[in-house]
Amino acid sequence: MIGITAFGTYLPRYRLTARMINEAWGRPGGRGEKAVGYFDEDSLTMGLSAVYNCLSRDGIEKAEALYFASTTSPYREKLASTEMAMILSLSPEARTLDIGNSPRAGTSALLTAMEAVKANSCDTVLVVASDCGRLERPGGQNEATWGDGAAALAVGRENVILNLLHHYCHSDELSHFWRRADDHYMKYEDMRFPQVMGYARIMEASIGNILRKTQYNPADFAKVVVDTPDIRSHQALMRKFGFDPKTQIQDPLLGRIGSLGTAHPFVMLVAALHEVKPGDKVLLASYGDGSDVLIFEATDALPAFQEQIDVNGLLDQKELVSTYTKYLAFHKTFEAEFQDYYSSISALFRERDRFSRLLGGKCKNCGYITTLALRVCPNCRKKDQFENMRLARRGVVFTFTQEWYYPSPEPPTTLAVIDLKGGGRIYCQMTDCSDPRIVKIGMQVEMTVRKYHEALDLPHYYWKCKPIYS
Amino acid sequence: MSVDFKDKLAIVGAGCTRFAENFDLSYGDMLAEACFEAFEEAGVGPKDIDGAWLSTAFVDGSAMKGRSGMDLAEPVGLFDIPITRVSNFCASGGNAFREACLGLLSGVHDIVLAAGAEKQRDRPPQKSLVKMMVVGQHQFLQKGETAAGQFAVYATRHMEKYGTKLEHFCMVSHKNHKHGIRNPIAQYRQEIPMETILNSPMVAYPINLLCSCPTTDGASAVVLVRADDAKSFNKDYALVKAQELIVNTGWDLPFFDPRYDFSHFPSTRLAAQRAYQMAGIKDPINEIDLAEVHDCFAPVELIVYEDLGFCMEGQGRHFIEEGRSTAEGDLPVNISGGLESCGHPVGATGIRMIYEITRHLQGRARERQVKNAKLGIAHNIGGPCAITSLTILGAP
Repeated sequence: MIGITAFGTYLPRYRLTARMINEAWGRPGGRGEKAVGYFDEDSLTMGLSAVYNCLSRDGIEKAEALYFASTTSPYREKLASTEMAMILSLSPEARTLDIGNSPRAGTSALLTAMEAVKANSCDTVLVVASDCGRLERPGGQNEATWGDGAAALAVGRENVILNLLHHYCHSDELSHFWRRADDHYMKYEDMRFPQVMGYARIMEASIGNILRKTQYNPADFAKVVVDTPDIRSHQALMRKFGFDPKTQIQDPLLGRIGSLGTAHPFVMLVAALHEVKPGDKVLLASYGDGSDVLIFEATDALPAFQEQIDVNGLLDQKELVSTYTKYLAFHKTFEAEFQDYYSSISALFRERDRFSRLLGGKCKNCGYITTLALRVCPNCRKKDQFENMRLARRGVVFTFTQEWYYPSPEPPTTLAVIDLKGGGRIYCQMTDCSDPRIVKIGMQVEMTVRKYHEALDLPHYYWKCKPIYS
Repeated sequence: MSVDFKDKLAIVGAGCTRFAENFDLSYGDMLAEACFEAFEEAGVGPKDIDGAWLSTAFVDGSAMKGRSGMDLAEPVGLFDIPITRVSNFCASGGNAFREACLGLLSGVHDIVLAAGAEKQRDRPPQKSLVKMMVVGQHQFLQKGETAAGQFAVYATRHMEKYGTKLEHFCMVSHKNHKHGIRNPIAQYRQEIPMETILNSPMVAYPINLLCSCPTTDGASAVVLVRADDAKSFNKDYALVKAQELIVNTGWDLPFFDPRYDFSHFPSTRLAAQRAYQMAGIKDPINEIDLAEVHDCFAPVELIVYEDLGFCMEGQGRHFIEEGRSTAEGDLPVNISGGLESCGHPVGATGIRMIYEITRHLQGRARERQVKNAKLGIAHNIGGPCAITSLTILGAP
């Protein structure tokens, strides 16, 4: 049996409502909202957060491959998957692959992972689908459409939750939405043509074809999880096949989180799973220059997984961006003052155990734990006795300050000294904390990788802490 | 073996420029002013100095002026002698003074100069010290911080542990601004109402704008000789009772070191313990007549009251509330107005404090004179807290 053995999803904390967009442009009304990445997030950091929500540290480090699906990789040339594998302490032997250029890339990465396991080239593949910053031009009609989010799936043979029974891939070039190589904003032309000749035609063909090939009827599926760029097209398609809106159809969640690109089919899938029982069939379909359609069967391992997920909790863990202008600033819609931050690619490389991987150093002689790249133990003064150790990703604020003059789209920048559970102390920024009043000595925090700045025109990822909201 | 400084060395001349936005003075102009004031008081000229130490903390705001001893030689006319640049963050001035003392104590030198200068205002404030902290340091460590934040984490912890309030920090600033009115070289010479200080914009919580020192230009200098020789230069000299310089941790380490408590400054505690022992001080609050302490940000002064033994641990807020550190109190602290009023041209501050104490010991501090001043201390902390310089001076 080959299938999905673990899921993790990640949505950024912040939301932007259609009403806020309309108010900014002097237009009336507006319904729904979308998830928007914070100023220090991108597809790589969100992907990492999804991975941490998917597997334990042991599980992550056992992965033999990491496939990263995104239309918004931080790089044109340089593998985001390899950088993630480095941060996650995967073996250098782990295969890494970036797949992109379409919201369909998430399911394509999943199928590629299934094939790798089937071909016995590896036992566990981590598939990360993440998009952040698929943007409409400010003031455009689709400004509330695209949201930010991520999902991570583990693919393997053991403890399979969803067993892949069938799949069907359909490729069909069609200019629905596109971004050219240097575009910051999404492009589109006619809105009706791609709905009719794109989504409707392609999805009817691909879902129709897999039903014909597998001899399933629409009523055979407990859940039908079909991605869509807009809600009306989705409703029309569902009607066409006669899926039952009450029991079968998974809400595309567009009005709650926006359209998440590569991650969207997987976030919908996780949202659907709490109503699935072992033995149920689930249909999953993506869309983008064609479609991938997958049919899964839930196994006896599903109930244990269902206990761990709280999709509504995930969807409801949110806060509105304070202003539309800040949203624009978060996504670099206007130019911030240039800061000539110091950095060095050699320093980044040699210090990556401590600063990228968050591995502590524990002194073999006296047990002192450091989060700095030191040679001599400050406690016992012995040289070269530090051994790498995993640090906990939870901790408590020991002391803090809030900087109003550090350049940030959302001042103040909170800096906190954090005592990590199980030892080690780190001093770093606090993120996802737009209300400085909640910060207190003794508050519990979680560690998360975020982008600090872009010295040398490279995203600089390092750890921040964030409040544990409940 | 340790060499005792006590009563072996004397300051025979001291000089200081105005601490201000000296748009009309270059780095070298300021050094010339401060050094020649000290020379004139000591009755010497540049040719008499046989060793010199220059304190400048940061050079990137001043066309790199201050990066070596050469930058003291050229503007002051000191040639053919050893000159060393000293840089040790906010303790640079105290450190240069210490090296000058050691130069005399070793017997290598006879007439030495310790001078400090910092040119901050050839650039806008945001591009001087703030900029250096924000962009210049390690790509990750302490990233997000300005100089204020480095001290603010101590203030936050002190508030949590001892119940100190924002008001207490503001009282320190209020007192120092009040003192500054009477100091002709201070950048700010006006009383600021408590309300205004309390309501000034936050810089790095819990440090607000009026609890922060400004960016300032300035230079200061002292001429030192061995105590036995002092009278032949200037009958009105001041004696060095002790000098301590302690580096107790690193730049990044304290923030990442689980042993650190952030409620006091260990480098200051250790420096005080050793310097008091050298000077024979057993009861600081009753023996010391005045103190210049490092109030780059007001909470630092409050915490330092405790670390210098002026009051018990956690009692700093009572010490300021009860007015014990005011001009009329039992131990006037920062009678000069401190860094809050004078400003903080980093390399010049330490020697400016030594200049201040010297003037009080000489009875020449005019309207700000602390009566019967016999023993004074000058304290700097920097880097942000790893380095303390403590100098104790006494009347002969």
